[in-house]
Amino acid sequence: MIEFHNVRLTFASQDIFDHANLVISEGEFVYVIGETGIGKSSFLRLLYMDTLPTFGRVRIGGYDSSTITRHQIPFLRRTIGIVFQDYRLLEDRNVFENVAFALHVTGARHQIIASKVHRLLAEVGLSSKEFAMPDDLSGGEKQRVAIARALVNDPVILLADEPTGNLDPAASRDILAIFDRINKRGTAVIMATHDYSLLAQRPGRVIKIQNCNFYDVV
Amino acid sequence: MSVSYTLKESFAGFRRNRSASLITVFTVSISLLLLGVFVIITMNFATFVDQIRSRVDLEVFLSSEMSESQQEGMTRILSNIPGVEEVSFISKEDAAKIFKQDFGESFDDILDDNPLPQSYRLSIQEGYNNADSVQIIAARVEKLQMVESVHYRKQLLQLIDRRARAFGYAAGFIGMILALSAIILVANTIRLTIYAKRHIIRTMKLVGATSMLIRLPFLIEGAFHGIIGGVIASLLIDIVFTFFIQPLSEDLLVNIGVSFGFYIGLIIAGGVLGFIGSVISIGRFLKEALVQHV
Repeated sequence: MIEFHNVRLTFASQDIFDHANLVISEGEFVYVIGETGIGKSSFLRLLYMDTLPTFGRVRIGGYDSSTITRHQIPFLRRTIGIVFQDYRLLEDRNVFENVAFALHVTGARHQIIASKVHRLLAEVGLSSKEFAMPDDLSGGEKQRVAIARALVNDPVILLADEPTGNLDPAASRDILAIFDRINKRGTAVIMATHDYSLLAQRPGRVIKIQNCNFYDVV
Repeated sequence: MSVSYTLKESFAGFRRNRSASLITVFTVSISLLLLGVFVIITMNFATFVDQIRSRVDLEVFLSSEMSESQQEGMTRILSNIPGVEEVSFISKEDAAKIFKQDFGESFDDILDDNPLPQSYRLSIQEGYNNADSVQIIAARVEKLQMVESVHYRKQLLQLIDRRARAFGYAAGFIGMILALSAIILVANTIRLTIYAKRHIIRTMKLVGATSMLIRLPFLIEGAFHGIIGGVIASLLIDIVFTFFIQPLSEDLLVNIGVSFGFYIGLIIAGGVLGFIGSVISIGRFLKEALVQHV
């Protein structure tokens, strides 16, 4: 489902990846670890094609970085759910509207949007907060809104960039429990983290970024 | 992409960013107010010039007295000359009366006979009342039999033509600068409001929104701001004209007016201005490179 073929990514004359190869299958739960600044976020950005490889190719679903056009990128992103470390909520609209936005971009009908958003908010435990503005939410609540938004289009892949990085242990546990549930339903979860204690508690494939390449940690 | 969602988002923008929306509306209003006042001055100057032109008549003096049938024939010939609007015959007696009105004296007191010739007064159609056209008409009339001479205020017409031409160039130039300034001013104001939303725009792109889905609500919102700005500018101009300019125009016996169509035009101009401003501004944020900085 996800393939990296000889990927090289260079920024400011410095290689982030060099001849990097990787395959991730459907439904996997993958932790991506590595030192701060090693390229975990760049790896995720290559997946949602916010940046393109300098050399080589990234394939995700039916999309290929070497052939994708600017107009196709939004359609790729609709098949992926993305949870950002800094939440990236739309600050000028409430919780319901934030989650609904991801459905509006697909042209979904009003009734479908309402029912799906209510279901997702219930799943992440935010039914009572649908009219709250992002500024009125705690970090954990914001992250749960971001997760609801990422899941509302039933993505085949969920990307999460340090989703527990800004959260206390209890909130982190809640978020990971949600990820587990999603993964059991067949969605591949790829989570960049530097919190190694998580790996001990939860099973999953661990990929380490080191020396501009990917290494499976056994 | 749902039309109702796009429209809803466009109007929700007004509610979400009240202060930015008010600043945009205010900027559009001021820009249109300046532009509107300039257009009114230009239009009224043109009307004023036309009024002066319409007062320029041709006086055709005859060499000998005409019979009634000859007068009718001459009237017909003169009426058929392109550019001639109205032909009026002035008999020797009428000429004497006019002389008495103008100079306060009668010939009867000095002379035994009325020395004034029969004449015609020709008024000129709109579009022909410029120096060149009137000169052509005068030349054709002069060639007619029994015409002694043709008189009109040639120098005044030439002066009006020169001044009107210079005013037209100046007005066009200033109008262009004003229109350009209005576009730049409005575009920059809108750009600032969109700049404040750049993180939101980026997030929208990351969750799969197409450029069109992001762009359209901004464009409609911009046009909406412009229309409101146009309405405010129209109201301000109408208030100023109703209470200050029109009483003055009655005093000066000059016809200064603003038509309803002008206000409609100003409101449409506001919408177009807001739309163009948004097109210019949003484009910059959406054209960001596909390959981002790492």
